[in-house]
Amino acid sequence: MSMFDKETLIKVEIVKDICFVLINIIGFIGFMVEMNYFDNGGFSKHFWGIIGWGLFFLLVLLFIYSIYADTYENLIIKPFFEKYGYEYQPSKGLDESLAYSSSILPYYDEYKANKYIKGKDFEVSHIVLKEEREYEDRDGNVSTIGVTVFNGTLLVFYSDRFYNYPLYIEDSKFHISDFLPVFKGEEYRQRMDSPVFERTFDVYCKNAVEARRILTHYVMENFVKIRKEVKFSTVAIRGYKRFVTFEKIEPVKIPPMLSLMTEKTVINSLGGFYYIMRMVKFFRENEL
Amino acid sequence: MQSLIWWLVGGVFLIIIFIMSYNSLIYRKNQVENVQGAVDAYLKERFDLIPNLVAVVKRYEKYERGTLKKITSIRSRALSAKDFDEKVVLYNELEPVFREMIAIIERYPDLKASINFLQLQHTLTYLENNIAAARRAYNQAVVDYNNAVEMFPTNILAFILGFKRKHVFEIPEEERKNISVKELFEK
Repeated sequence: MSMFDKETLIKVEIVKDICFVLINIIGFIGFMVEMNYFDNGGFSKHFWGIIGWGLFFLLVLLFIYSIYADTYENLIIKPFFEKYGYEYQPSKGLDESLAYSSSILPYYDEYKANKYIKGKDFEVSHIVLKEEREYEDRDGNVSTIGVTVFNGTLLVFYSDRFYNYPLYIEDSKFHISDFLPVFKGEEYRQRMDSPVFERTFDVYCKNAVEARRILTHYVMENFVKIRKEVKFSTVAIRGYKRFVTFEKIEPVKIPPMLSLMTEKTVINSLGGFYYIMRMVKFFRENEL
Repeated sequence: MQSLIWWLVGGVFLIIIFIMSYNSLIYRKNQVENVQGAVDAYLKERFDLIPNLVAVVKRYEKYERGTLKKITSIRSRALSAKDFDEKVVLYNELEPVFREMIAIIERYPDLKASINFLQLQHTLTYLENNIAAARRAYNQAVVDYNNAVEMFPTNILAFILGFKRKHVFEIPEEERKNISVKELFEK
C-alpha cells in the first residue's frame, strides 16, 4: 500500500513544474530588460543594472519557492502526519522557554523555530540560533553581525519517570585528567563503567549515583547502538523531560525543485523525522 | 644570574605540580568518601528492612526459625559495625539469606499475596537498584582514586603522604556464578 496519495503527488509535481518554468521565464525576461535598457549606459549603469536584476530575481525566486514549499507541506506532509496521529505546523516552532530550559543549546541572542511536530509524548521543531558578534574594521567602525551558532532540530520527549539531577550525554572528548592525575578533571563528569560507552560519550551529572541509576549497563549498551544509527549531538535528561539536539538535521526538508515528485523523494525529505522517531522509540523501549 | 632564573622557574614549576597533585589526590579521596556515604545510607535502609520482613514472616516462625535467626543476627552485627568494609561483607552475607527468605514467603500463597509483602518487595527492588547504582559509582570513584595513587607523578606524593589503595565493592562470589538452569530445576 502506498504511503502517499498518487494524485496528490502529481498535483504537487505540476505546481513544482509551473514554479520552475515561471522562475525561468521571469529570470529570462528580467535579463533581457536589463540588457536592452542599460546596455548603452556605460559600465557603471550596466553594473548596477545587473545588481538590481539579481535582487529582483532573488525576490521572485524566494516568492515562487515559498509557493512550492507551502504546496508541498500542505498537500503532502501535513496529511501524512495527520494520518499517523501527529500534528504538523510548518510555521510554528517549539516554545523558546522550553528550548532554553534544555540547557544544551549554545548561548544565543536570536531564536527562530519552525516545522513543529507534536506526538503523543513528544514535540519537536527545527531551530536556528544566532549570536550577535561585534566586528571592528580597519577604520575602527564597529558593526554587529548575527552568526549562526546552532542550526538543527530539538526534540523534547515527555517521560513518566522523574529524575532529580539533570544528566547530559555528549560526544566523547579528550580529557587530560584521564592520563595525568595531576589534573583534577571536570567536576561533574561521570566516568562510566563501560569502556565502549566511555569511548563514545561523556556524561555529566551532579550526582554520581543518579547517573548510574539512569545509565544502567543495558541502557549504555543501547545508547552505543543507537548512536551508530542516529547522529544526535547532545542528550539531556531533566526531570520528566528528555531533550535531544540533532545538528544540521531538519525534521522535514523540502525536496529540490529539479527532483521528480515520487514517493521515494518524499520519504527522503522525511529523513530527519525518521531519526526523531528512532530516538523517541529508544526512550520508550529503555523506559528512560 | 641566568642559571638562578632557571632554578627559580624549575622550583615554581615543581611547587605547582606539588600543589596540583595534592589537590587532585584529596579531590579523589573526597569523591570516594562522598559516594561511600551514599552507599552507606542505602545499606542502612536495606538492613532496616529486616524487621519489616521478620514481621511479615512471624506467623510462620515455628517452621522458619533458622532463617529468621540468621537474618536478625546479621542485622544486629550490621548495627554495631563501624567500618565500611565490614558493612559490605555483612551486606554480601545478607543477600543469600534474603533470597532464602523470599523463597520461603513464596511457599505460602496467603503471605505472598499480602499487601505488606508486596510493599516490602517493592521497597526491596527500589533499594536493590539504588545499591547497585551506588556500588558502581563507588567503584568508579575508587578506580579514579587508585589510578591517582599509582600513576606518575601523583604516586610520589601519595607515597610520601601515605595514601593507600582502596578496595572496590565486590559482588558476592555466588552472584558472579553463571546461572545453571539444571540447578534451578533441581532446587
